[in-house]
Amino acid sequence: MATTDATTAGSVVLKHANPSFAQTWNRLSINDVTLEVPALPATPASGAPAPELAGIEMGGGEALTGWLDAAAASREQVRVPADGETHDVVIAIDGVHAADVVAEPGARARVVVVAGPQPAGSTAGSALRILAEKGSHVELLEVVAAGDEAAFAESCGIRAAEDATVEVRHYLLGAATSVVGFACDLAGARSSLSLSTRFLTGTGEKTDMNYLARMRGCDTRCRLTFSGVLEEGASKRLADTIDLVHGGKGAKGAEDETVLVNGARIRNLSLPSVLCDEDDVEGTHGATIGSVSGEQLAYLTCRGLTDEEARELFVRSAFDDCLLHVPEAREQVLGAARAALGDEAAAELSDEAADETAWTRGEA
Amino acid sequence: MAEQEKATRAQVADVDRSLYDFVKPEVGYERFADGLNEEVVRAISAKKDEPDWMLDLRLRSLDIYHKMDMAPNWGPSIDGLDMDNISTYVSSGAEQAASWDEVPEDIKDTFERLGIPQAERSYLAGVGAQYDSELVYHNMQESAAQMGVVYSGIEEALHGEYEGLIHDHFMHLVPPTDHKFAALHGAVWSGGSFVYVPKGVKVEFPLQSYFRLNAKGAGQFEHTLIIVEDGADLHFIEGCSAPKYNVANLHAGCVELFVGKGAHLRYSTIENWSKNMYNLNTKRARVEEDGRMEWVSGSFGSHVSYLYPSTLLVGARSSCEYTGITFAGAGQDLDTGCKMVLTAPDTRISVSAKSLSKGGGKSTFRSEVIVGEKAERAKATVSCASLMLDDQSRSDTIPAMDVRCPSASVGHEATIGRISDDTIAYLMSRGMTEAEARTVVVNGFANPVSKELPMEYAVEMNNLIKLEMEGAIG
Amino acid sequence: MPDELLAIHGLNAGTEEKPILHDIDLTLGTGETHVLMGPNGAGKSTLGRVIMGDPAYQVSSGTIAFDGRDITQESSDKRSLAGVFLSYQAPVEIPGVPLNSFLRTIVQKRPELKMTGREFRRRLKEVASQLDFDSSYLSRELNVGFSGGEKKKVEMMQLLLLKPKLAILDETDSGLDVDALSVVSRGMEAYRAECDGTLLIITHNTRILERLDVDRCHVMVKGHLVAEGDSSLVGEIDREGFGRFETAEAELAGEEA
Repeated sequence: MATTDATTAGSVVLKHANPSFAQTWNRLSINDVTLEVPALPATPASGAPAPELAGIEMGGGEALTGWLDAAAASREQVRVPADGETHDVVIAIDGVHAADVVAEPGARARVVVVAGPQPAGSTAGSALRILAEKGSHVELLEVVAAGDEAAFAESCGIRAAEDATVEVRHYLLGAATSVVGFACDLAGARSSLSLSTRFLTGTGEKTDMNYLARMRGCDTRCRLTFSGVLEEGASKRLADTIDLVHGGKGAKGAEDETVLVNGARIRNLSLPSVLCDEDDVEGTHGATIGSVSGEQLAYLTCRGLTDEEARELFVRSAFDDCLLHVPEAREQVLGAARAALGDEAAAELSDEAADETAWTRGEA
Repeated sequence: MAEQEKATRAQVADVDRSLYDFVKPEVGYERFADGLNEEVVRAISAKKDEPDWMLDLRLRSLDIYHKMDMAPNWGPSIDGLDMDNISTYVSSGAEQAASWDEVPEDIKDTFERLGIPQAERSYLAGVGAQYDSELVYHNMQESAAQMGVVYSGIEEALHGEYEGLIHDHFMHLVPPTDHKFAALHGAVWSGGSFVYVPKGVKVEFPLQSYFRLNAKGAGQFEHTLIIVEDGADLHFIEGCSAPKYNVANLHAGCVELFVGKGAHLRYSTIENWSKNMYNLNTKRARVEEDGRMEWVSGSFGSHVSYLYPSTLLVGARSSCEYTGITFAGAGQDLDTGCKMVLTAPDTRISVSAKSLSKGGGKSTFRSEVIVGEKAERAKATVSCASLMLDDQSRSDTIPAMDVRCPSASVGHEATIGRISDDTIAYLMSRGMTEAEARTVVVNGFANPVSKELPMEYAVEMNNLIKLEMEGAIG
Repeated sequence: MPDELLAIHGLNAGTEEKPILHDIDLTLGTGETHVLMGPNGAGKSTLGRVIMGDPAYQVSSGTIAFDGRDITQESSDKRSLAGVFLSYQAPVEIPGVPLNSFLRTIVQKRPELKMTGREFRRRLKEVASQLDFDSSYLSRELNVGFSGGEKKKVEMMQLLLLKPKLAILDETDSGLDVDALSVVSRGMEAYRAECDGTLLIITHNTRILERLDVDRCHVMVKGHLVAEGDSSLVGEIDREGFGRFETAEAELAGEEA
């Protein structure tokens, strides 16, 4: 099947990008996304991923991953050794970026990906492969605040060996179109994934998310939490799949989605699948979609918030959370906060964050 | 201990279906040649002496069928189904009767063994029985007829005063363009029931249609059309079964339900096709203001099922409940669930689905919930639970949601797991065998569905579960 | 009068379907502890909700004055900022909002509680430890998946953080739960110790009052306040139940008819 079509000069259309692992009725437009991206340079600048990472399953699917790999200006290759220290790997996205990270056995890596404001009309992106070797701990923190005139596309794949722990926090705080594909292969026994994604899809913006946790090893664990806010005219797709593979005895997976709708003319697509080919496992998922309920509003107003403040609280909490976990992205986050909440609220957040940092340091 | 338990649980015998699995000879049968072409379609139409518009619909559907493909990216494989080896029309030649005494002995014996005449005597307001492509029996209580309720063969109705009504509804909810097998149905449909419940009439006892496919390598394509007018109330029960053959049989029926303002319709199905059946059935309901639709669906049989009763809530404050259970055993791939489309304010749906997998069987719960822009304050709750009975089987949950209305609230939850060892240990400590303990847990799991069924069907369902479970323990 | 914090006069209120409260007169002085008792379904919780300004209830006549100001028509967020606090029997779950963000936001709304983030976190830890609240819960979503006891603690934490002038503790259900009882007792003690606030405790079980100095006790039956007395009334109800008050209410209702 052809997955790319040439269109107007300078751009190509990627079909079946970011495909959900569990497929369903095609007319729902929930299985994948069609994406227009800049045409590739004649000769790709970045090389192929290292052999040990090449086989890692990528969340964005073949079409998107292939494009990102080829469009990347260079490929960053990092090995994190096990020396008792936590190593920061900071990736500042400017255009399209490719990176391979290997956390050696027992290593502790903190990978930070920040996509700050990008030029209007551009498509920034990231192809990220991570190999978490035996007993390593990988924290992946990602902030997308590309501005409302740029697109961002990412394909990420992680393979976790025995006893590796992977902790992921995605903050999708703004882009005209954000496409995020993520796959984590819990290949080793007792490996685990804890993932939290917070998305704020602003007026007229589009967020497209596809997540897969493939639970192959015995006694693996995963917990996927998604929460987000849709403003007027926002469009969002979230396909998330927990695949309990045959042989992965004792695996437990849970996913949970909460979406708050703040305006009219929205499109909110969810496909939370649990696939189970093993009996000694537990899989659960839950989704709640709606506006702030009357009951919740009543509770919040009785503690002193107006309706507007109550709704804002949901948006603010995402920024709060992001500043707390990714202090490196402070400027980008505050920029996005100014766009979403106004200068005053952003200034408050800023003070808070400064306080927070001081406090954390003071305690340490 | 664990190894031993595993060995026991992996030993899965084929299920005893002797209750359903008996074959009657095809003596004196009229059987159209296998395969599908315009000649066959014209022959079916001619056989039924139907209005021209129906022949047009059939030919148009055939054309659509040839142009459509199955979706390549999802659903169970239907590679074992070759339309060139399916006869689309098979008739025993029996005339439709209104008394069981007039039904030929062989066929009567079939329905006696399935308990249909007994059920009719004890608690049904009317019964229709279809044998292969044609209805062989149709009868309704005098009291219901007096209230103006019509329950007859759909072909019979097509020749009477209801032709206009049928013309205005037939394949309007499920157009031939819906999917490949809806098109097939449109081309070769035969048999099925027509029900009309006038305004305000509440039918006290259920009506039931039973579909029996006896012929080897045949297809059954019955069409059920039910119109429940404003304020009326009906419970309709559908049963189906077939003996097992080593070649593929096909069921591609179609059910269209129209629920008027403030009306209520409950549609219950216990589906127990044999395990060589491809069950590609389409059911759809349209519900007006304040109307209420209830689906109760038990899927136990067939080799492959694609079955998603769907409901369009087009009237304000209309509602729908779906309660379903699917039990997939050895050699079965059952893809079941429901579709709900909410387009009016204050509509409500609630879905409760259960599935069981065993002996290498695969069950998939697949659903879609679409909440349109105008469905203000709509509420939807979907909950599904899957129980894995061994480590050879598979169970998937694939629920899609599309919400376009800010004031709607949609909730979804699902769990997958097995019966905990603790539960079994507890029950065994109280004197049950492991098999009994498992059956108790599974029956409890299925209880929310069986309690929605009339007593006799609940008993049948529990027997089916028991048979499946005994097979599982070997 | 400055020491009159809450003054309710001739209050009739209910839902759209039916009236619930009839001719309520109730005055609470600054720093006092009052108890509102009565059998199940008497309308006690409704009175709490009406004082808080829950839009589910409508006031058909009468006035509610708080701190010298008529608040009968005010929305509940304004009443909250003015210093009224009502604990919920069943606090709602709010996914997507971490508990600490929520607490920080409601504290920041009150100029008199102005503090830096650092001060806030210190205070939060203090309050959490006072109530034996597992501080790892602070970053979890508000009440989502919390047990009944944890939810109760969240309510009491808000009481201690916000330091309202009037705290209405609706404890009609918690009277039977030993854990909830102890959380509420600790909350009340701390509140009494730290601010000169007024307490109105709604209950039909006297155990919750054992460690408290009660100034006045009010009895409600079928939406009427039928008796008022000092703390000895609590003891009487404990021994004899609500029988005599129900008789009194029947007479009152008879007169009205």
